[in-house]
Amino acid sequence: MSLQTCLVLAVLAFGTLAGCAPAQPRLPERSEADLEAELADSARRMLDELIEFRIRVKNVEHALTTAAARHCGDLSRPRAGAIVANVESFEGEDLRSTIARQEILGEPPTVLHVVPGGALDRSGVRDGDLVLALNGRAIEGGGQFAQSVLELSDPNARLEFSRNGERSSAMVSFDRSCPIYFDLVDSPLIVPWQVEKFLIDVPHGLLQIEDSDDVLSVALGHQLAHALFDRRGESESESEDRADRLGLMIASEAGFDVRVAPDYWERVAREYFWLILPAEEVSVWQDRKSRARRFDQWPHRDIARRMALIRAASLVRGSPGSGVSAGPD
Amino acid sequence: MRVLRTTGPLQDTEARNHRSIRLGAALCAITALVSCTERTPPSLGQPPGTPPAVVRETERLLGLALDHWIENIIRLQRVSQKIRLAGRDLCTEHLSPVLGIAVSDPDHLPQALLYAAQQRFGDAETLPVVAVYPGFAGERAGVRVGDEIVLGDDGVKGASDVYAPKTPPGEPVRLTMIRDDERISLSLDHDSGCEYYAVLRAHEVVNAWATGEQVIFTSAFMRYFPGDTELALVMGHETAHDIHFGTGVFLPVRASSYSIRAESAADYVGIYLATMAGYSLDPDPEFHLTLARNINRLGRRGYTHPMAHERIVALRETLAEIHEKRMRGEPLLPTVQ
Repeated sequence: MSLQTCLVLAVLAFGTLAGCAPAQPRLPERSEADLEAELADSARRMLDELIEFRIRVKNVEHALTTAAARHCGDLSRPRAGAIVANVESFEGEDLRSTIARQEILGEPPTVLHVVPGGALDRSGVRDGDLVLALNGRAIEGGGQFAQSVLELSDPNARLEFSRNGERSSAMVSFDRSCPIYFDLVDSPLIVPWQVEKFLIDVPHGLLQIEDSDDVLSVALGHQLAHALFDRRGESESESEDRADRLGLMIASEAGFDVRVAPDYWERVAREYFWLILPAEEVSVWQDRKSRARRFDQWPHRDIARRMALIRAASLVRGSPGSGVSAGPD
Repeated sequence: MRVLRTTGPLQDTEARNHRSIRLGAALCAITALVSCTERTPPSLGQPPGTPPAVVRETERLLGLALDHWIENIIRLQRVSQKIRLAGRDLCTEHLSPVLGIAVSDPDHLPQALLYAAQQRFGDAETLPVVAVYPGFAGERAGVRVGDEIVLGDDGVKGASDVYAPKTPPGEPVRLTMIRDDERISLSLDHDSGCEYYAVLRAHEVVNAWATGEQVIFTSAFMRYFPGDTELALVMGHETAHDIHFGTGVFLPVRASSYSIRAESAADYVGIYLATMAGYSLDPDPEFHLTLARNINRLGRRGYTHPMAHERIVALRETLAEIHEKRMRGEPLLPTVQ
């Protein structure tokens, strides 16, 4: 080997060692077929979990809003008691293509879930049935079905549906309920919040940390009570106290065991300590559709003062159906 | 002598036998937002006439929140310090001693918790040790949970000097502590690891990121992913980013710091780091889907990171590669070209 070659080799070796040519990781090869199979599988798993979350929220929503109906007076409206969906009910291209490819949802809106004991359940409608028409009016989407039920002046209506390709119809006597709706949203928060007069956002984070529908009923009941009973001009503590008291009452009347309430609010306090002691330095953001919110605009502050009432109310309402009724003040 | 209040599960686990722990609460705090501002613990700030029961409840809840914060720190540091040791050979000159202890750190404690920390630890200028991990230098030298590391001595100005001391290689780390009201001095014969240590931040976005010096995890991340293995996967990924920033190694040519190529490389190196640290990653993970669901980004293009299903396939193949290296008895290092 000549001296020249040696020098070249030495320079090359030095260059590599000194990082002149940065070492790059050699990533494993990935086959297109593997990627495609994984995408379908991921979408399917994600869809299953989303549907499971929606079912949990729907069951609790139905129980709470029907139990609260008597407090809503003229506002009360019929409620479907089911998740009826079509492809448009889900966001995301790959979720939608999975839904289409696996024929999970057909052209007419499909019943994904019937709330046990609800109106559709009592009328014999089952998961997988296709919803065709309500009182002769064609139903083309999940949202349109919910809206049509909401607008019924008579809660007794004729529902046309098909099962295994066979058309049938049934008289449905829809339950009366407070016209509040819960919408599942992508957010890590563990407290729901009100976005519109009749709409409450339920973040994934709450379902992520809690398997118990009792806990869900406490969180949702509180926000439902805010939506129904908050009044202009009242102080924040007045409105929180009423939401705590009525929320627990409604959840208890709906059949949930609300003795879990102190634990839930303690968990909220542990995670969101700025609700215990406001300190302006922490900035904590809430992201929904890029709407940021500083923590000092969060609801449910003043949590330490509220705990005594929450503890007492959760005990009074402890056993499901204890029937203690205070009514709205 | 002040006896630690016992409020929550913390006392049942790693912080048992805390005694007389004090905390330098009036420290010059360095946060990402305010550099070097004097912070004083807030008073309870409740209006006059607040019933004593409400004051007590406020203190109790703040104690629970502090326990929870410290539990998160203990978990974060446990995973972080294992990953840092595992990455020793990849971090080249960006090394520091890894002592295997966690402290309650007033510099990174949220304002609202300073009050609770002062109530619990007192206001002396010390860093209370809240965890000592088995197999590390701290345990070998006899550091105990409840010891208070004295600030100002041995060049210790804050938690960063405990997590990544600037001791020259080959020299032991000296720490002065208060234990049972007595000053003791310990010499820690340490191992070296990557200097990039982990920091917890209160934030309601499920996220973690690398700064080039540290790895930051949000409180929402810690809640969303309660397992050490999932934490290790992301810790590895972020540490790989820090290695890119610091050494230039593993940075794909012509890749900006935030490109799908760079993120894939960080995933790849991160899986190695987590495996080298002793975590057995699940080849069929929920993690990516949970993350994708949270940001509703399954199969959505135009995002800085690879898509969930791409990351899952890459994870599986990287784990297979690691398995083969193990079978062949080769060192567990990322393959480079």
